[in-house]
Amino acid sequence: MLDAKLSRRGFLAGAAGAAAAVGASGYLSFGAWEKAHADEADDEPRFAGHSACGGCYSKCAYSAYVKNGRLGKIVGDKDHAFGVGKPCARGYGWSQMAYSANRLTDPLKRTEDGDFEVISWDQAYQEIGDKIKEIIATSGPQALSLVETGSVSMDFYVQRLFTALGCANMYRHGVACNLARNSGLLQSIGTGDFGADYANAKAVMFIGRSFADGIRPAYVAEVKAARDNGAYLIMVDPRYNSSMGFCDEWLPINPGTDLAFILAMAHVVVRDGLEDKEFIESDTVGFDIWAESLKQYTPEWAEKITGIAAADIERLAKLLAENAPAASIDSGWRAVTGCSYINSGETARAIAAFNGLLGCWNKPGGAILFPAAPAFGKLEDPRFAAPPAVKDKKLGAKEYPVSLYSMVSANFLMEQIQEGNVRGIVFCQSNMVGGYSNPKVLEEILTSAELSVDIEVQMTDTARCCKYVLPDTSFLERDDLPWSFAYAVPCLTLRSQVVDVLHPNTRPVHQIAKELAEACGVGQYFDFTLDELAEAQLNTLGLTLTEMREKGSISYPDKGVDYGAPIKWGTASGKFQFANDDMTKVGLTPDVNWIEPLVMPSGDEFRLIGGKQPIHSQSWTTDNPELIQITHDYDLTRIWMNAARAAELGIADGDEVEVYNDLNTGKVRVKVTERLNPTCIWMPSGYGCNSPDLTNAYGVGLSFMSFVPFQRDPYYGATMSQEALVKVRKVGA
Amino acid sequence: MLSWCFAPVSRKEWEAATDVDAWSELLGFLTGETKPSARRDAALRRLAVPPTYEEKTGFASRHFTGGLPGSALPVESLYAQSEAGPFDQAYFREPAWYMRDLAESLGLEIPASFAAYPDHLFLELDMAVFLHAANPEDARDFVAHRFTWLPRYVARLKSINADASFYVAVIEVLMCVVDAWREER
Repeated sequence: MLDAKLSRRGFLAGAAGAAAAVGASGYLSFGAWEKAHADEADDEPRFAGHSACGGCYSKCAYSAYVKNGRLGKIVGDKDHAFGVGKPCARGYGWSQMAYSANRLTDPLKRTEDGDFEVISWDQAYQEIGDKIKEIIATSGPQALSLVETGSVSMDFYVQRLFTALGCANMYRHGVACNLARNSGLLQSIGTGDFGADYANAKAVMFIGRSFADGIRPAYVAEVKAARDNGAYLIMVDPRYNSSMGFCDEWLPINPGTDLAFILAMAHVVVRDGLEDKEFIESDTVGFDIWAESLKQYTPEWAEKITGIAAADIERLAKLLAENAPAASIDSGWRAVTGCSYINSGETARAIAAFNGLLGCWNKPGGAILFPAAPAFGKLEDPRFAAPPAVKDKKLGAKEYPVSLYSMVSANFLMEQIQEGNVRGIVFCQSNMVGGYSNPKVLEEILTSAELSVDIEVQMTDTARCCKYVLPDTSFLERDDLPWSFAYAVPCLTLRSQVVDVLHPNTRPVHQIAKELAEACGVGQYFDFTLDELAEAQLNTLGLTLTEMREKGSISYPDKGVDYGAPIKWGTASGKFQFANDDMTKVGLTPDVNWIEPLVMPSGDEFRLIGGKQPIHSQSWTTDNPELIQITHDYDLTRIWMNAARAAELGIADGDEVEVYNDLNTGKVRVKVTERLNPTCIWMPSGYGCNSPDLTNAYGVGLSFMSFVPFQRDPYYGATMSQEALVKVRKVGA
Repeated sequence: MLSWCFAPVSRKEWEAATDVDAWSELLGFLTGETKPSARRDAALRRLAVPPTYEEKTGFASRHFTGGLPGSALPVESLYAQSEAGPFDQAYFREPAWYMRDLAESLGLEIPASFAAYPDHLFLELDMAVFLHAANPEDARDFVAHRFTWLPRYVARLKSINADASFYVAVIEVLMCVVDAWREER
């Protein structure tokens, strides 16, 4: 028998007489426990609070229900403007992140042999803090940088840290998302985003944007409402995407030529005098310049470039004009306008300009400028005062003067690391290596950085290149600051902790930022708790923390779009800008003109295009076992190939093929379909994880960005993710 | 004592436990608790030379942590079979709930730093020892149900790209003890 004297010190702490309890009340056998547990199986989980999904940038709020200390159920909060009470697949899957077997549980430091080993938090802070101080002392604070995806506390706390350090180099993922779009829109309408009053629209055209494959449940609800109310919905996309279930018409445009299509439609509208002359007269500048340029962009000209019949271009231009102002072209997001082509930003400007011709801005059924989100008032407590403003501009701002400042190119930053101008970089839940540009190049640059730190929940492609990895808690395990955001009806949301911290050696990002600040000698700017700050912020809106914890989200319908009211354009001219002289700073014409794509396929080449599928947020969620199982069940790593092109290459549906170019090669199965433009291959984004630590994602599918060069568009600095050509051959052929 | 192989203990504690006399006593005890077999004998031979404190902490810092290719945290929830099928590799499942509830029913406290994994191997071993001191029959029942995951854990240890032979041997001997106890029930 085991001799008790050998047990020495045990780890279970017991009350006096605990051993007697075994005999007195009886040991709880597993069988008895299972039976009791089964009896409780029908017990409903209890409400634990309002959280907000961490599965993408939308942060849709939901009510969390817990049973046995574990998240058991989520129910969407209807008042959240993006989630509208309906968590998406990613929301459900990502809710299990707290329990992931692949979570990071301790601070890690890269060893000399390239592995990682656990270190204490004290050691991590000491070493990182010392290095940051040394970099600042010898090279100045601009030799540091931050890349983060912007997630409330993370946003506020890490930006505060870097501001306190005197560093302006704070970047986001826009370079591989919507940098060109937001920047192009800024130059036309004075803000980086716009929406549409879909529910009241008579006609909406989507250019390369599929709500059913994309991010927000609210968008799906809105396009459904448009459909239900009889709107005519047009999808311009090389691929017959998942949103076609809502649409009336599909135009399989040659990818990268959407700008030509819009210019030709604009030509038709102006040629036939269908533009909104009153709006143009009262609210705009530069129309005459653009009207002159448009003369050359005939539908016949565009047909040769886009593959869309001139007659269709004519018809659709007139359809939109005749239904104006309850008609618009949707703003797009990532594909086409966001970051895909050299002409992406100009395509965004063209969309805004076309909507200007329609005169549909802030009209029922038209394009809408989002009203400002409720802003927190001034906080009187001196502890909350911001650190001294940094006078320097972030690196890249000078080179890309017309880019939205908050989104200046993170790829430009990486070149600065390569050139030694930036010596240290901190990431916050940003898988840059996985998706911002060519992973091999980014990995090489990042591993050469003198200091690299990643604050993460999982060992992403980026984390594994860093020298230090600091484990964040999952979003379910922490409180957050309140955040308000602009939408058709602005919204205020608060995420609350709903489950206990699972891994005791993980820390919430706001705590990490505060403790790093202390290690760097700027801790005085963090002399408050998160709750104190949250309370103070909410008080300025007449709310309390207790109230917001109960409500979760509040919408502000009285602050929604004021249809028909005069618009205060945020542009330098104070007007809608068909032409903007600032564009000449980057070699563009003041008005929007045709720019052909950087590359064009010829012979047996294909343009590589990609996009989301509704079950994944790029590489963010691919390690989730439930979501990746859907990938496996439905063979969702397949590329799409046009049937006629496949026949030429002797490829049949389901074949294994090799996709290759000078940068990469990989094997995958193919879906052969009529529903794809013949000049391109469509590859789902987010797969091809190169981190063996993410055991569910590793080796599944192909890495889209591995086929794309490390490059930036010359105007806005975006990654040009679809300016890449590949060839395809059948494996074994 | 076996639990200490997987638990964070101080240098002083580890060196006291692995001094020649103490360690020999342990090996002798384990010999007595198990039936002769090739598996047991091979494991005991490997256990003859325990790792130094540096070797132990070095191994733990690379393998008894989550999120790495070589991660091998000895937590039952990560290895136990469940009805969830392919999604059964996750923390804080039924084994954890049972251990938590069992500890509570006995007036025992799970250390705060391990609240997330009350089904950590070192806690399960501690529980076995505790139960045995009170009622050996209960301890046998506990051991019979709680250590069915060990073969999968051994497979994991063997798969990591590191010399995990000591820890494999600990588990192999433990499984021999469990087998012996089962036969005595």
